[in-house]
Formats: sequence, structure tokens, C-alpha cells
Amino acid sequence: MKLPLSWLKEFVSIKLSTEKLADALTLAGHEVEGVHAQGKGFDRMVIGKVVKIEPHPNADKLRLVTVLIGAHDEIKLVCGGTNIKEGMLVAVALSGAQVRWHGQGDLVELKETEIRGVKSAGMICSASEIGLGDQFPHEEREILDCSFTGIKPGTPLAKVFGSDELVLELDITPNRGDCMSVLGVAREVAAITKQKVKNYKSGVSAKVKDEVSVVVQDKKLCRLYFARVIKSVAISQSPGSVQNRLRAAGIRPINNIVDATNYVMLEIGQPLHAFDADKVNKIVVRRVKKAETIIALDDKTYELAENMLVITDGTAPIAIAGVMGGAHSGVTKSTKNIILESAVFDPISIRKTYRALNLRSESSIRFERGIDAAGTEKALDRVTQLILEWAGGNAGTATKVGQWKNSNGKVSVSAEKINEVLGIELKPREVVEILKRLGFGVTGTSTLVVTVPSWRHDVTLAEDIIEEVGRIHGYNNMNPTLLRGELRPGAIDPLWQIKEQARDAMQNMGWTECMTYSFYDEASVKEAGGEHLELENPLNPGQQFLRRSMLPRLLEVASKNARTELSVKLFEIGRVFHPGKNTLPNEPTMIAAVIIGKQNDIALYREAKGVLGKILQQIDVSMDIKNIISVLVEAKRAQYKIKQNAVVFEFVLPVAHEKSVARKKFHAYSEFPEIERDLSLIIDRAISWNKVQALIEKLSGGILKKIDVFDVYQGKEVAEGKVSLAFHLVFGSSERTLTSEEVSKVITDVVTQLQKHFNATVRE
Amino acid sequence: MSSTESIKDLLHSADEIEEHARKEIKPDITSETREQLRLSFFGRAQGSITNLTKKLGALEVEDRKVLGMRLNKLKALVDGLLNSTAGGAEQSSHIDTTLTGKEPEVGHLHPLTQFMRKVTGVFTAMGFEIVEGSEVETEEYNFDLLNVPATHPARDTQDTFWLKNGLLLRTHTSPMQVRAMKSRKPPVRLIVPGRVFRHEATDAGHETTFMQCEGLVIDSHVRVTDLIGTIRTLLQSIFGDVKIRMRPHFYPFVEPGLDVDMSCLICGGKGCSVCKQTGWLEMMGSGMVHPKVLKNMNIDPKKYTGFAFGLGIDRFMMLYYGVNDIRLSWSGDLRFLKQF
Repeated sequence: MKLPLSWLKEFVSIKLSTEKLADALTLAGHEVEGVHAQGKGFDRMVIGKVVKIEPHPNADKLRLVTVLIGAHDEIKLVCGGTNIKEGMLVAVALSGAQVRWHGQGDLVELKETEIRGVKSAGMICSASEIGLGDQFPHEEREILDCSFTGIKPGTPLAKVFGSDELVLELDITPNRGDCMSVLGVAREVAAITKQKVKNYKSGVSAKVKDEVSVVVQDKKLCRLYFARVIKSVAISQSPGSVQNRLRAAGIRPINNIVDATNYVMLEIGQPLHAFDADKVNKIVVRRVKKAETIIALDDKTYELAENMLVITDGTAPIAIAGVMGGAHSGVTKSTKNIILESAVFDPISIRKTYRALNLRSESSIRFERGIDAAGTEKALDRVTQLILEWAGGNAGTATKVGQWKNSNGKVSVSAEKINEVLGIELKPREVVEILKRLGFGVTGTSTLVVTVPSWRHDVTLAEDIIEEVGRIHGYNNMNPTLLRGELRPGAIDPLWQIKEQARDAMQNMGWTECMTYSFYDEASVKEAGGEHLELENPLNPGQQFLRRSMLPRLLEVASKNARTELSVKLFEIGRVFHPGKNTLPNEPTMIAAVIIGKQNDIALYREAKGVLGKILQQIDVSMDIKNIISVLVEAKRAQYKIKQNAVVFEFVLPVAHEKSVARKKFHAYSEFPEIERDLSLIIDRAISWNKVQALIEKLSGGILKKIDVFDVYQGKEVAEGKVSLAFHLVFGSSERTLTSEEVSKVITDVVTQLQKHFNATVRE
Repeated sequence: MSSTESIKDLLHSADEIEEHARKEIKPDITSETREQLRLSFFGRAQGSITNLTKKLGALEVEDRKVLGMRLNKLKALVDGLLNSTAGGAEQSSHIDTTLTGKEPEVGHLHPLTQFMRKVTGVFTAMGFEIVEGSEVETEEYNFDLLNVPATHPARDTQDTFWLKNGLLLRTHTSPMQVRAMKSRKPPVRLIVPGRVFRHEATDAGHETTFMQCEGLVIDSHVRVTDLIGTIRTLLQSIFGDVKIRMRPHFYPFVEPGLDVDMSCLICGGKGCSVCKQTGWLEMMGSGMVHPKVLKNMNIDPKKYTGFAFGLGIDRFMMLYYGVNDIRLSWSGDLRFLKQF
């Protein structure tokens, strides 16, 4: 919310510097996101008059424009504005001015420059380039037409659109609807700085007898409705200072009537509306019947749904209650008589309506957050006063339908409790004093009975009172403490530990962890197989389903990496999703890994398999790995645009581990020397290694310690259908030194038996 | 052998030897030179220190003590100088020592993992449990039980990925607050690290997916000042000597609610573009657990109080390492990952 500082000062005297004020508001919960000098943005900018437009010699879309920027000063500049005309008044930024190119990015200092070979002494600005985009919406490449100002060329732009007004940019949290106004913020400032809010006078004496006929059919959604007629108003522009203030607050001035309603809304937070009294005979507030439409003030047609609250003239809707008025009944240049509305609408109904219509307005934001019904009548009087002042006319008597009483209750809380929760030691009278400054009524001494003011709908519990005391006392005035209590070791979820172990193990083996999105597209669903959870509102097709496998995304990123990296070894540990029945889905945690490299597929497979084995060992899990590791087939590599060989594995990390931490066990090693032998054999590919290994183990009579394949070859050097395998054999005993003879005997046996059983050619 | 040399002369000789040693034993001498030098000091026949040592025997007891101590010091010094020369690592002459070392193949953990470990480390040291929640949640746990009613404006700012079956992707790790309390009784200290999701278009500052760490403490007499102290411990453990400030903020599941700002790491609080000229960085949301949420946990708000906080690991990590695009975390790009 934009809040002009001078306006705030009308309601509370401010002795702090602006910077200190901003800090104080921020630390009381109303974050000041910035303080802008409204006029400062217009330094080195003046009103100019377009004298002559000539074509640009080198660009079709650009024009060479002569602009008068003083009684006799003419400058030439290049302009691409589509709506530029001779005689038009425009906003000219001269070198040194700060502009926002095309309304985007940071402010840039303008310099005299050449555009396509032609010198340009400045720039004719669009509204968004000088921060007026909100008030003067425009098409791309349209410049701001300042002709309506009728001001003489050379006048500083600050005089037209701003002043030296300082504007606070406040982030009001959704619970504090009461601070959506100058008055509301003034109350906060008063409470923080121990000042009093200044009251303004209101009260109107009726000059005409006319009274508006108001019927409220739905008292639940409209608790209170005030209306008043004002006869014979003269529509014109509002006073310049009012227009500037509205602009500073981010609202576009329209005419003196509409401006007055907006002005009072900004001032005290009560949204108001003005109807053209000659187009509206009476006011009937009711819910929408089937299939009604309205053309709103934004000239768009809205299809209204049943149960939305509308203002009607007895037949058709003339306003969407609390959201936006209708175009037909709105105040125009030819309006003579008006009806003013000041009402209280139900926050939830307003919210539902504007969400359904996608029509958020200054009015709906305030109603949604809850307004102060105690101010509804005052607001009507205030806006009447302003209109009489700015537009003349004769006011009628106010019509009131509905009743109001402060429904915000009383809250009981002891000063002791407040201190205990906050961790501070305030005296009860200090607590009472803080609450009173905020407008709360307080009675009682040990237990405080706190009456909540009409504007504070957010305070209903003792905890809310504690917060009020905390934030006004100041959280940064409290001494931080550490937790007290028994010191107990923090238990760690077993699965968390297993994940951490798996991560460490993968990293230690030279693999890199990545994280990919939890959703993927339909093609990935087919690939992963199984039933998938589908998203209702994906932003793109890549977010349509929740993953059941991490491989599709992993292969995607691995493929991209393979373009810049020689070898890719990636893994991810994360959740996948299996639909559950009427309950939350099952979310197993998986580890997935991919290796891409220039080695042959056998070597790559063996590397991945080695890593997989190590991981299982590290997390102390045994499982059949046949189905969890695979070489990526040609078609799949093509699909992911992977040119080299690739191997993947993926499996579910165990949820419940019997031992909370996989524990390693020491095995005594043999002091006796080991004997190593190498063998190589050429064998039918149909015979799998595990059969070879089993035979060797059987023949070695318990002295074989380790068997380790170090070379696998199939190709030109060996016959078709054969594979060459080379391996180390390590023999040893924990009881004695082996003799070379006994090892040689085993080797001889092995060679013979491999030849006999598998028809293998064996070389030592 | 002359016995006329006074202790004074002998000490002077020691000084000369030291001076000589300091001058001659340079870091870049060859191992050959080094061995020659060693002999010149310690050689059995001609070593200057050896020679001096031999003279000890002829001295009076007091003088012997003085010279002995001096020589011990000298020996240690010269020995140290000799051993500190590069010649210690013998090098074959055929190796070009300017060749680059072979880059060892190392793996990397995701920076979010590394950062999460820093955070969990701080909390486990303070006796917090680590628990995890499910990433798909019910509307009830993600919103309702956390006191976020269906019509509440706060749901605006937490736009949600919905599933076709009515479930949703959790928008924060907070649902686990209530779930965890189903099986626990105060005193409770726990953190919930995990992935959360927001329904928004991605750019350098916005992601659909990010990592959060939730914290929850419930006990009798938990105070706002405990919350402030705990968070200060966290931020100072990770970022060093930073200032923090608490700013009231609104979250429906806490009351009072507090945002935590940390003095800007880039400018140290003077104001820069990273902190939008404020000198402060918004780090995390926190607050005292709302009594309605306590009730939803079956905890009596009259007996117990608690605090909760949620911190975005991505933002922390980005500030810590100077990463300027949140999407990099989810890109899987090794050029990013290998830097950590």
C-alpha cells in the first residue's frame, strides 16, 4: 500500500525522521518496503509540445520529432511512439533524468545519444517509463499524452504529476485490514510513538429532503447500508493537490465525485461508491438470481453466479456489491445528481465473488479483510463534505438500513501470562499502557479484561494480546534465551540416516548428486509404467504426473551433461509416488544412478555394478540386483539423445532398517602370505561367469580368498560367440603358509576342469 | 687441544656457526649440497658443531652446563633448517615437476544437501529429532489443521499444486507439525527437512520445487525469547557473526508470528542491491504455535507453549555460496554441481 507521508501527518504528529519512522513501522509488523520521493522521479523532466514530426532517415518505426520545451527552446529527438501527433503535449526526459526503459528493469540515467545515426537530445516518455503506468495504462510503444494538462511547455513534470511528496510503500499483512488506510496506519504510529490520533470533524446537515429508498434483502451479507443523495453536483476535475495525493497513493484521478469516494476510502478505509441518481431510482441489495450479467466500470461484461451479492435498482444489477460498480449507473461527465453508498459487506462473500470473477479492486481488498463498521456512517459524511466542497450541490438525508454494534469481544489474559510467553518482565501497568495506546479498553488488575476496538477483527485470543504487547514493546528489545529442559539426544529417523550413508558412499566413489523435479510428462509415465498420480493444475505438460521412477528426469539431465562432460556419473535420492487407496500415496525413497562414458558397455556395466554392490554393502542391505541395473538399450539412448553407452540402476531404499545404523564388523586378517595367480580363458558367451566362478571355487578347496575379473573382451580378436576373460586368483590360509605346489595343483585342476566342462581355452 | 679458550669464546663460536648455518642452508639447495652441509656441521671428524661439542669435557661444571644448553639449541636449529629444505623429497631428474597433477575423480553432494547438513547439524546438537513427512498431503493437514481456513487470504500466497484425487503437493513442511505430534508428547524438539512445492512459474527467483526445514518445539514454558535465541544460534552457527532482528509478521499457524531478518552478508548492513538497500535479508518465518494448532495436536495450550519456524534451504544456500539463480539447483547441470 502506498501512503503519502503528508497525509499521514494530518492524522498523527510525527517527530521521527522518515527513516526512523519506516523502521519503527517495520518492526511493529508493517513492513516499509521503500520510501519514494514522488517528485524526485521527475527530475530533469518537463512538459514539451510536439512541433514537427519528420521521418527518421534510417528507421521506419522511428520518427524525428521537434519539441518545444520552453518559450523558445526547441530540441530534436528520436521517438518511436505510435500515438505521437503534432501539437500534442508530451513528457520529455532530458539527459540526466532517471527512466525505466519500456517500464521494466532498474532506473537508467538518460544520456544524449545517437539513435540509428541521428542525435536525440532526450526522450519522449511512455507512462510506465516514468512510473505512471498504473494511473495511465497504455499499449506498448504508446507515449503519455499530456495534452489534458493544458500546461505550458517547459513546466517541470513534478509540478504536474507529483510534488516533493514522500510516499511510504507498506506491506500490510492480510490480518490487518484496519491498516489499509491513512487513519489505520496513523493509529499504529500513534501507538508506537506515544502520540494521539487527530480526529477530523464530520457531520452533514441535509439541504434537500430527498431520501434514497433502500431495501436490503440479505442482511447476512450486508449488515449495514447507508445511502445519500446529492443534487446538482458539478462534475469536473478534483483540486490538483487531491489528484497528486491520489496518484501518490497509486490511484488514477477520474473526476471530483469518484475521486472523493476514493479519497475517503484511502483515508479511513471505508470503500464507497457513487451512482448517477438519474439512472437509479432505488437501491435493492440482494443475491444474484440465475444468469445475470453486468457491464462493470472497467467496461467488461461479467457473468454473475448465483449467491453473489449485487446492488440493483429493483430490476437489474447496477453494481457487484463491494467489488465494482456498473458502467451504466456510474458517474459520468453529464451526471447531475448522485447517490452515495457506504456499506458493510460480508468479507467471505466478497472474497468468493472477486475470486470467481477474477476482479480484485481496492474496494474488494478492504472488504475482504474486514472494515470498521463504526466508521461507515462517518465515511458517508466525510465524502459528502468533500463533494459539496469540490463539486457543490445539495445533500439529502442519509438512509440507514441495518444495525451495527461492536461484535469484537473481550479477551482475558494476565500480565503474568504475557510476560511468561514473551520471556520478559513488564509491570502490569506497562502492559495496560501499551494496550491502551493501541485503542484497547482494559479493566482488572491481576487478570486483564481487554475490550477489542471495533477495527481490530484480528484480535480474539489471549495470544493475540500477547502479540500486541510483544510487538509494541519490541521483539528486538528482548534478551534472546536458549531452550531450557532435559538435554536428550536428538533421535534421527533411520531412513534419513540410510539416505545420508548412501549419499556419502556415492560421493566417495566419485559420483555426483543431483536433484530433479518430482513430476514428469506422459511419455515418462509410459516409460516408468504403473499407476501414476496426476496433477489437476500443472503449469506445463512436464508437470502432469508425479514420478514413479527418477530415471526419466535423471536421464534427461545426464544427456544434457554428456554434451559438456567426458563422463557422467549422476545419482539422485528422492521420493517417488505410488497411488494409495483413499489415503495418502505410498512414497518410497529411491536411489537412482546413471553412468555415461566412452567405455564399452561391459566395462560400464561392471563399473555401475561395482558401485551398486558397494552401496548395498554400505547400507547393509542384500537384494537381488538383476532387475535394478541395466544397460540402456539403443532405442532408449536415441530417445534421450545419449550417444555413448549408459548404464542405470534404481532401487527403493529400505524404509525400516533393523539396525538403526549399518554396522561394520572386524574380521581378523591372515598373517600368512598370499599367493596370486592370473588366468585367462576364452569361453562361449552362453556360459555365464557365475558358473565359471562356482567351478573354480569348488576346485580350490577353501584356499581361494578372492577372485577378481580384470579384463573382459569380445570382438575381432576372439572367435564369434566367444568371450575372453582374464582374472586374478588370490590364495591364502589363516593357519599356515601355502606352498607354491598346492596352489599350482589347484590351477592345474581348474584349467583341466574348465576345458572339460565348458570347453574353455585356458592360459595361465 | 688448548684449554685456554674461555666459555665466552666458545659461545661466540656457537653464534658464528648459527649465523653460518642460517646463511648457507637455503630452501632451494639440492640434496647433495644439503648432505655436504650436514657433514660440515655434524661430521664426526670435521663437523663444526661436533668439534665444539668435544670441548665440553674440558670445561668447569657450570660452564659445561651453559655451553651444553647452547649447543643443544644450536643442533636443533641446524637440524631443523636442514630438514626443512626441499631436498627432503628426493626427485628423479626425469620428472618435469611443472607438469600439472592429475585431477582426482571426486564426487559432489548437491549444495542443498550440503547446506541441509549444516542446518540439521546445528539442531541435532541442540537435541532436536530429525523426522520426515510425506510430500503429498491432504488439504486438512496442509491448511485446515494449521488454522488456514478455506477462505483465508493467506491461501492466496501459497498457491498450490492439486492432484486429481483431491490431494495436494505440500506447500510447506508444516503439516508434519501436526502429524509428528500424533505419536509424541511434550517435551518435543524436532525438525522436518524436505521438499515442498509451489504452483508458480519459474524464473531466477521462483521455483516450483524447493527444500525447506521446519522446526517445532513444544514444552511447558517455551518463550518467545527462546525462539529468538534458537534462531540466532542457527544463523550465527552458519553465517558467523551476523546480527538478527525479529519483525512481527502474520502466519495463521502461529501467534505471535515473526519474520527473521539477518544483517546483509553482502554489504554488512549498509544497504546494497541484494538487500534492496535495507541492510537486512529476510531469512525465515517463525512464531509461537497458534493455540488452535496446539489443540489440533491434542496439546493443551494452557499447559504448554511452543514455537515453530520454517526456513527455505534454497535461499540460505544461494546466499551462502553466492548462487544467483534458484533454478540451477534443479537443473542437474554438472557445471553447477561440481563447484560444491
